[in-house]
Amino acid sequence: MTDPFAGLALGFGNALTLVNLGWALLGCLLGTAVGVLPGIGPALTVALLLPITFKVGATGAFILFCGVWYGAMYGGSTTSILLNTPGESGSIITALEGAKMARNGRAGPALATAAIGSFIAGTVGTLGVSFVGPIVVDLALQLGPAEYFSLMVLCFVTVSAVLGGSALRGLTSLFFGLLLGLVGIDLQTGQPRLTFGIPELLDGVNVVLVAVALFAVGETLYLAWRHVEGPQEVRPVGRVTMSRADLRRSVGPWFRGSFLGFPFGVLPAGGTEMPTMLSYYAERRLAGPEARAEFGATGAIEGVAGPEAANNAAAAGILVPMLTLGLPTSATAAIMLSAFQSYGISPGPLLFEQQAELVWTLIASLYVANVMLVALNLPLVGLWARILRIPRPLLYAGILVFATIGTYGISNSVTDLVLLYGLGLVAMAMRRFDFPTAPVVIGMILGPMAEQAMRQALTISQGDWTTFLTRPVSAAILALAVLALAGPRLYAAFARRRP
Amino acid sequence: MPFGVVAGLLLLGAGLVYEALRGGWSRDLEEVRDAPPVNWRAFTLLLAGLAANLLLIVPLGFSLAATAQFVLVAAAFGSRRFFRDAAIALALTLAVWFGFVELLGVNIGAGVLEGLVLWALGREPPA
Repeated sequence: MTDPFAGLALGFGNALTLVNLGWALLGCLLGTAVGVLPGIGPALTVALLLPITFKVGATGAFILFCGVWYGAMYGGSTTSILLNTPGESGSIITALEGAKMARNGRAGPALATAAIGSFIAGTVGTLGVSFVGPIVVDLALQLGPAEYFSLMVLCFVTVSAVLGGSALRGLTSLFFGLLLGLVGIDLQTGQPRLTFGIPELLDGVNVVLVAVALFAVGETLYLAWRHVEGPQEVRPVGRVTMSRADLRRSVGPWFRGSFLGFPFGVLPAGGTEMPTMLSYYAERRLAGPEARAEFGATGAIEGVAGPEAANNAAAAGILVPMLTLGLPTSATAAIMLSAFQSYGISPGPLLFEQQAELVWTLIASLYVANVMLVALNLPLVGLWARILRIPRPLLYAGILVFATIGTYGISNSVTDLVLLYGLGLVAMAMRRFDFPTAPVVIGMILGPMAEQAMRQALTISQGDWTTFLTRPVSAAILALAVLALAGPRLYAAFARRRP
Repeated sequence: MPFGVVAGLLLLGAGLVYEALRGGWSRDLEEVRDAPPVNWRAFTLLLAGLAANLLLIVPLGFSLAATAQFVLVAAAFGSRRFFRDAAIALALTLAVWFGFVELLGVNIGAGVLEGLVLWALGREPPA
């Protein structure tokens, strides 16, 4: 079942049922709301929604999660433009030009170009998922455990060392995540590891707990620590329309951003920061002299249209490695992966064969969600902006209440709460010293999978460690990982020697 | 595997210490450079909120413990209207509790307040 057209026909048949449309709508509404609200993002929301996997079937749950994922991308731009506080990492660049446009009374066109750009990029990205996905599956079916282990190593290196300010700090976050992933009974030997005799730790540290600690508790603590008394200013929305000139200037950036963002999402290079930044620089370079003068001054619409499209296309692209290889390259994808595990489904190349109906329904729902989101966001953006009026004290207090019940609900144990708040303090310190948090979640979820792949590979090779280097594909992937880690440093050293 | 991870952490730790001794990286961060002074009042109130929840959740149940937490956290972020906050908190925490218990089927033990509400509705608390 790797024919995309047959798959999509099957998928749309399922996605357009009333129940699944309802899940998509709920996901889109929730996603836009959390995207708009500063301080909470899709990773936290999906983590708190994980308990529905006990009650709701896999298809409904994943349609909901993907709606949240896409919706948060739309909502994030609204906050960046109106408040100049990016809701998540992918919209930092949008805030650069978007907030300047809003300050000059052009919030309406900025919001419009962001929403339409998101729609175009989401469509391009979803088309990409439908047609690139099956190709990746065919390739992935030829990979053995050794190759898988190498792929995961590559993924570790790119998400932690290549992105972000410092490879050292990124890798430290990753290893902290790997450490958390080790806690509990080892599945292969039955030995408890790193539990320190505390019975609650035998089952391991819960993913929801870690995500909530990092993204809700740590964030709130940090905000309190740096709290400045006084209200925050929200720019008025104005009329959400674009003039003909705005439209003419946006079309190019929308498509360039889309085609730039998607490949970045697909590659296990992960993340939405890099493509949004590249798109920003590309648009600034390509802009005519008039528009060039607006960059960094009054705000150029190209600088909103391009990065926003790149952000959404990359977000769609991230679904390709998650669905086809079981490799998450963002925190949200990592938590969705753990939702697959709680259904007993293992994502990977076999997913498209064994769960064809689920996969294609999910992909079809992405098209549906995209249409819903542009319909929800273009005319109703003023309504969403009103969420920003919720007083900050109540908002953060509410977030902590949800964080607490989400964690306490897992096992009714105070030990978990102590762990939650403790990890929250760690996360706050990480935030202060600029350690990225996403590698923690990815390391924690991918770590045990990598360990299992490594052991399988070693079992096949009868304990011969060179198997990772003698199999050509595995060796090539490992070489790539080394290159990604050492390449930029070598280049910098080389450039310094030859001024 | 555990030994590998620990070795990695030791290595990275050494690297970080080395960087820190060379002067650290905080001054390179825009966010830290321009940061407002540390607000210890807010931070302490927030920690008090977390501690209140830890201490109260077993004896009093989720709603009351979370209400105490909510009021303290709101105060940390500068709210002065404690009674309004408490009212909102009670409504919110009860709604969240019922949402989790009834809709998601996640069992969160009924405390004093939840028991009272269930009793008023003429229902048995979940086992």
